[in-house]
Amino acid sequence: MSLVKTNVLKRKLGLPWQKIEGQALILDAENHEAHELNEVASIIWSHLDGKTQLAAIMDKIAEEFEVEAEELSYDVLTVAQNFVELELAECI
Amino acid sequence: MNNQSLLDQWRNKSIDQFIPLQASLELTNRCNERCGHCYIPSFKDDPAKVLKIESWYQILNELRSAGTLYIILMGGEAMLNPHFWDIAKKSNELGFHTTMISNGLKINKIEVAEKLKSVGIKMVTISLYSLDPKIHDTMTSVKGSFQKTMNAISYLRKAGVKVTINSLLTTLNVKTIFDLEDWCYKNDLELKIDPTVTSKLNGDMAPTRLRASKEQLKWFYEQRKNRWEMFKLEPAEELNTDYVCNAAKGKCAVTAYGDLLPCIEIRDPLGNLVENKFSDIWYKPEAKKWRDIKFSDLSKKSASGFCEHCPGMAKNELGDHLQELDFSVMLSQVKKEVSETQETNV
Repeated sequence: MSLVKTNVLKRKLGLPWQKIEGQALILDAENHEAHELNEVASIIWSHLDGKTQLAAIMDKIAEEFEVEAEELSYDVLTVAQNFVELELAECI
Repeated sequence: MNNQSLLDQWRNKSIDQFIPLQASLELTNRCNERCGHCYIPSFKDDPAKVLKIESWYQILNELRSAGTLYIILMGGEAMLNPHFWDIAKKSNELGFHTTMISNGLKINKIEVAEKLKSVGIKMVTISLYSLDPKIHDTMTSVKGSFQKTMNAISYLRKAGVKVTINSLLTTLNVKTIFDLEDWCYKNDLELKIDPTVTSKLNGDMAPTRLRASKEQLKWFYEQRKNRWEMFKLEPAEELNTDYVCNAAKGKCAVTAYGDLLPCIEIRDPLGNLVENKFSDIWYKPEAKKWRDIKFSDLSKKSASGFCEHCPGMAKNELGDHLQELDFSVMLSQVKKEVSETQETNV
C-alpha cells in the first residue's frame, strides 16, 4: 500500500523510543534492532500520534525548515512508508 | 547497522551531557522476602510519604522530557506497590523501555505473567541465589520461595516475557553458583553474578558479613575463567580515563517517596520530585559533587584497571565517597591476580 498525504499513522504501541538533541532512537526489541533517525525523520516520527495527517506533518516541517511543503512531499511519504514497512508504525 | 555501537553512542552521549537515559524507580520499600543481604533497613512504607499515582505519572512525564529511555521498576518488591500495574502501563505508553527487578513471588500464575507482557514489560530480572532450595530459602528467609521463584520464571517464559537472572554471590551460595550458571546456560537465561554486598542504608553493616571471602572470590573467578573464555578478565578500558561511574550523569533513581537520587546506591537526595521539577534539581550544585568524581581523586588502593569503587557504598559505609572500601580493594586485587594468572597460562 502506498501512502498519501491524507493518511494518518500511529507509532506502534509499546515501542520504546526517545529523542535527544533532535534525533530519535527507536528500540525494536522484538527484532533485536535499534534505529537512529535523522532530524527530519525524527520530527515525522514524533508526530505519528494517530491523529495528525501526513500533510500536517509536512506543513510543520516546511515551517521549521522554511521550505514549501510540496517540496517535502516525496521525502515525508517515503520515510512514513519505511516506518510502516519496518512495522514501527501503522496506518489507521 | 551496528546496534551495539549505536546504543553505546547514546550511552556515551547521555554520560557526557548528563541526560538520565536510565532511571530506576524504587516503587516501594515493602517486600515479601527478608533477604539478609538486602540494603533496605525497614520493609515498610511511610503512609504519609508514599507517592500517589498522580505523582508517579508526573515523575514519568518529567523523566520523559529529561531524555530517559530506560525505566527499571524495582523495590523492595515492585509489585507490592498498589499502583504497580498503572505505573508499568503508563511507562510503556509514554515510550519507555520498561523492565523490572522482582523476586517473582507475586508472579504466581500464568495470567500474571501474561498481564506483565500486555502492559509492556520488556524484561523481568529475577533474583535467584541457588538451585539448592535450602540455600535460596535461607538467603530469602522465606520457606518455599525457591519453588515460587522457579515457577515465576517458567510462567514468564511461557508468556513470552524475557527473563534474566541476578544472583548475589555470598558466602552462603558460592559453592553452588556454578550449578546455577550451568542451569542458566542450558535454559538460555542470561545470568549476572554480583559479589558486592552492601551495608543497609541506615549504616547497619550486618549484610556485609555475608560477603564472600578473598579465597572464595579467587576460587570463583579462577573457576569462571577456566569454564568460559568470555569471562577472561581484562582491565577496563574506561579506567584508562578518569571515569569512575555513571551516577548523576546518564542515570538516576527515584525513591518510593519521590526523592531524586544520583543513582540507586547514592542515598543523598538531590531534591524531591513532588516538590520540585526534575529540571530544577538535576543541575543543582549538589549533583556536581557526584559528577566530578575522578579516578585520580581516589586513594588508588585498587588494582589499576580493576577499580570496583562505588561512591555510594563508600559514602554509606565510610562517610566519604572518595575513600575506597577494603572489600572493593580486595575484589579489584583478586580480579587482577586472576587476570595475571591467565596471562601466565597463555
